[in-house]
Amino acid sequence: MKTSSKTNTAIKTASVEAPIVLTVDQIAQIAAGMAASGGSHTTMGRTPVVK
Amino acid sequence: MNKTIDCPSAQADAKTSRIYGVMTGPEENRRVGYLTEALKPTEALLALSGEAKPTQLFRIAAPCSKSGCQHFNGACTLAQRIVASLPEVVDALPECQIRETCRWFYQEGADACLRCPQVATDKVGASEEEIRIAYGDKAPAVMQV
Repeated sequence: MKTSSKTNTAIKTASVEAPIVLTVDQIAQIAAGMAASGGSHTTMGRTPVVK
Repeated sequence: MNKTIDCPSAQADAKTSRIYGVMTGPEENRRVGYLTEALKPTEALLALSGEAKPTQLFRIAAPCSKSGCQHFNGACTLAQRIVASLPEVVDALPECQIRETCRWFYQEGADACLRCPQVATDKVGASEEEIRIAYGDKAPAVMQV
């Protein structure tokens, strides 16, 4: 992870084709879209047993 | 000595978890972008999710809870449902930083990896099929027919 400034902070991701670089702003845009989505919430992952 | 096996779809835990993917792409076709280096889930990174849950945005690995997880019955039934029910979405194994310790890969092999990129740990507005895969026979009563 390379860090130079807040807006230039980049997280490298790798796909099967080629690595891409996402900036913080791009990640925030994706997250904002998720937050705006409606509907029920689902967790597809580790789920503690409730006793 | 037993190797630690990681759940590839865990919640953030500062002590034991690693961020290894970011959800990318348009809402109707989200895919995991696998990081070239797994990262500690710092507050600054988790804050990038804004009002969304960090696990809507990130894929996070943490030690498999085994019997402490609702999906485990000696094997990860979530991984089984994913492999049985979701289509392959890539034709080669993603360059994933956690494969060596991944529960889904350990148990299901490449079949899990070819389906993994479409899995978001937390999702809003999941389809009935996604809810069935997520919860199996423990699906919320409202979804059971």
